[in-house]
Amino acid sequence: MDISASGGVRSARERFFRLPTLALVAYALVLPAIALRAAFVIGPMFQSIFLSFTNKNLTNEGRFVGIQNYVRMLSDETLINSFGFTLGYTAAATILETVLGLLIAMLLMQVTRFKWLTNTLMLLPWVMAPLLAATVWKILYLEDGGILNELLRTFGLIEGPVRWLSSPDLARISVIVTSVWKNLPWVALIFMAGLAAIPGELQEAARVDGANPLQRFWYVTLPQLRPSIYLVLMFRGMGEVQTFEQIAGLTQGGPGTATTTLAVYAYQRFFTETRYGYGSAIAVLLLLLTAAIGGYFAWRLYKANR
Amino acid sequence: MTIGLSRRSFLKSAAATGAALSLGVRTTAAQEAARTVNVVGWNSPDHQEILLNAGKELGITVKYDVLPAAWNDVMQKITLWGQSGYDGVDILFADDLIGGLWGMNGWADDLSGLDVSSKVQGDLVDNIAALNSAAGGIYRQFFLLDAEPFYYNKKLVPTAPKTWDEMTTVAQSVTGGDVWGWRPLGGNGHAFNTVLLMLNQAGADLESLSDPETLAALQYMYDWVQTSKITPPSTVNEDNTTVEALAAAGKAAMWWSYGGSLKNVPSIDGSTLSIDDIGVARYPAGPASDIGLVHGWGFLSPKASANKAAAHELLNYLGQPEQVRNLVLKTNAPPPLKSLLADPEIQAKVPLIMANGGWENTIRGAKFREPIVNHRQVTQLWTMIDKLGAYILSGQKSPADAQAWAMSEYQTIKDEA
Repeated sequence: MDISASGGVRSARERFFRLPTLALVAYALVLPAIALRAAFVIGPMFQSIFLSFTNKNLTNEGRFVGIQNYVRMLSDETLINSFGFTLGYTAAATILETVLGLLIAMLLMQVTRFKWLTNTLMLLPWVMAPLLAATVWKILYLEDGGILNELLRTFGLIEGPVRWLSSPDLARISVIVTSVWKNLPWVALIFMAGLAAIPGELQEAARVDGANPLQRFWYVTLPQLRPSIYLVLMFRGMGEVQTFEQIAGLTQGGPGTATTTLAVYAYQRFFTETRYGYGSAIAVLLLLLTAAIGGYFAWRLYKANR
Repeated sequence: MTIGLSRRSFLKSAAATGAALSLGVRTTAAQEAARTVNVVGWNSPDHQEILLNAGKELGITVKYDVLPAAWNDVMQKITLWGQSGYDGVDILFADDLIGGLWGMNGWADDLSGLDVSSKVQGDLVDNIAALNSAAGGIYRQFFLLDAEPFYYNKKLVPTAPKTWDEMTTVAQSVTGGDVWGWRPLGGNGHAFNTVLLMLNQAGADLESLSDPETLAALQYMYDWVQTSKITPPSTVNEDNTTVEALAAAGKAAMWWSYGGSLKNVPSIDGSTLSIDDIGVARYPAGPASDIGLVHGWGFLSPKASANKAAAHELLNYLGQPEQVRNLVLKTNAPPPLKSLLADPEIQAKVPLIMANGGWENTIRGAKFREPIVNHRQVTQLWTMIDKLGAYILSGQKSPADAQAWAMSEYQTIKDEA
């Protein structure tokens, strides 16, 4: 009784002292990470939001101007075009990456020999630095003496050069192609993991029930892959909407402003023109757009996992 | 023999010795720092060597650091230095953009008071004198002056056209296959110069861009690609390296590039042109004039410099004609001093100064990108003019729409000042 009583007292004491101590240790361990995040992510983010309500620029210390920068966006033709292009670019690139990524993943899952080789080759574009990828594609797209034009010319498919990067419409397609090429391996990798996790019994049961390959894909594979699909859509959607390096390396937002994404435009206004107030307002718009895309697909992913 | 030394007197003398030693060290360190000059310049061993040798001559320690490789990085770094009053740079290599940014925002010393400034004043080429006058001070001590000359392939165009209209006609007559009549620089930030060339030649009001002359210049540029088709649409992506390679391949009848083009084009592997095949001329005249553009690099003295006396001593030395001559010979670019134009060694190294009836003829009246480079918001204006070129050369905006955009942008920049 005594023992039990003393034991009970001891455990209560232990609970009293140990839990807060453990909690303190835990907090102390994560504190550096929180501090770093606050210093390098959250702090600058709030600073950007604050700057977006000022007219600070290189020669002007800046003063509070309320929502003036945001109102100005409504009549900024370049911004409106960039916003439209960013949405179109994000949608096109994300959809293409998802569809083609799934297709490639399914094909690669059939490979039984030299799997290491096919996987390595597939992953090469993904491990390439974005600016390097842009440079490679710039060489391919060169209009005078570029590899693509020379190939097309050799096969007699064209007479004059294709204006890959100097025709506004073609340039938009060219940057999307580059982005898809670059990010497809990651998507395929995620889908390969998703496909591998689908229990073989499900496919087997469907086959026994007489389902053809298309039906098995539609009624078994696709529903089982739903979490992977939302994961891909979330990450690629957020990634594409913030695309900067590939565009900067390929077209610098041109010709004219045809391929200027919000990220490129924010960079131009903030860094090149040193218009910190307006540049920050564009960055905040981009942040909201990214959060909206990420938030929507994260919610769908959460629901798919339940 | 014993020396009577109490503990008290020992401590006193030790303290005195320590103080004397540490003060001495500090004084020496301070003297050394004052005789050290931090230079930030090109990634060029030749320049570094000249600066280091100059330092040795004067008993000054020169610490040479290089500018970042990417231009955007350069601008961000030096803008931050200027804004924050960074005192770690005593001499900065500066082009027109950096010079304008620092000079007009009060971050650079006015070097008018240097002995060498008054010594070479009368020897400076007129374009530099005009820039200094427009800027209201001497913010750079120039060590080279380059230009954006008009070049032509003599095999395709035997004589240079004299007017805009004539240029279009000549260009149309030779355009075909892979050959384009006129290849200006339109990409990677070079459209800025193309636009300014045409605005100047049209007689546009660069303070507002709202006049009919501005529209005429934009229309002329628009027509190159869209109407008269003497320039390929790819011009929006072409910089000096690309245009020079295309000229070397015989794919450009006329082009503009920087001063080095005359030597670069024949030296490109497989070039179809020798230096004698390339003509240099004054620009075909627009409605107002036939003037071109010049640009230059010079030494700038940051106001926040912590070692100003030694830095100015070095600048006084480097600005002497014989030192400028050394720099010119290493750079292979035209000199900023008239007296050096007659130097046979420089003439041999820089054949451009002998072309077109002499360098003074080529650069006569050429502007230093005023009033952009003598404006506090030089960066914003520079970007705006470059974007204007991108809109026009890509055909994304009509000349009227592009002008309206530029006027509105100009107004915003002025309002933000």
